[in-house]
Amino acid sequence: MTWQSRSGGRARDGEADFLVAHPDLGLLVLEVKGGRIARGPEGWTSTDRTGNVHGIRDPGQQARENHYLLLDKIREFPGWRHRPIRAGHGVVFPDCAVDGALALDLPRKILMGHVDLVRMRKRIPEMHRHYNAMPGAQEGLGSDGLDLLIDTLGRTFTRRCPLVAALVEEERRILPLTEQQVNVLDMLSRLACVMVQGAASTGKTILAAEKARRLAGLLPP
Amino acid sequence: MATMHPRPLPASVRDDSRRSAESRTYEALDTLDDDFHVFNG
Repeated sequence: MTWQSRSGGRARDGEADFLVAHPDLGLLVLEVKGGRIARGPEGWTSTDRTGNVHGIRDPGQQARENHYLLLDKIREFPGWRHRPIRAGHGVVFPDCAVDGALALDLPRKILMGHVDLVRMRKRIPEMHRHYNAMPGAQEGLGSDGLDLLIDTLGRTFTRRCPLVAALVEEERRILPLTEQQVNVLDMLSRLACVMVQGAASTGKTILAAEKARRLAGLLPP
Repeated sequence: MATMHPRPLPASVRDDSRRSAESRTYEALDTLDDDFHVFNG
């Protein structure tokens, strides 16, 4: 999911692979990194199944930044009661074994590896509790906060096309007048009354519409 | 079972081998208890 929020007085783009929400436990922003993960002198890398090595952003920093950017965005929601909420972030490495902290900002409690995927029901609440046990931990979302989040993030929609846009598109699709039709219309400009005959789909309506359009152009504004 | 947004995972993600880690995480998060909502996409 992506969003744009105002942070520090300027617009910033945020992105999270997953947002996990619970009415009592709060929010978790999860960053997912596939492949074999490593951190070397040049920074973080992910090696895919074919052996290609890709440089990646520091996943802990990425998750943390997006956690705070998302909170900034939520505070902008219309109807959001301005209250602090319980929130945290975590990193998932589905292809890696994780048996301890990977960095000072990536303790084991906010990391998930391959085996944790089958223990998600245990690990996600543990991650929430890790943040909720911190000094100054805030309130849960509450059912109203969760409903607002669902309305804002989870809604699907189909927008109506304004009639004017449909007419513009229809006009664009109408076949351009042929040279012969243009000549007929020019001739009609000198006649007060004419009768046009033709088989179906030969362009009678197009001629009439074009004539009407030209006459409309003669009217004073 | 958690409420997933969206459900199902769009084919553009599910069928993209470069996003298999995301697909597997989605399936794992789907096993959370009913009170959880998971947003993706």
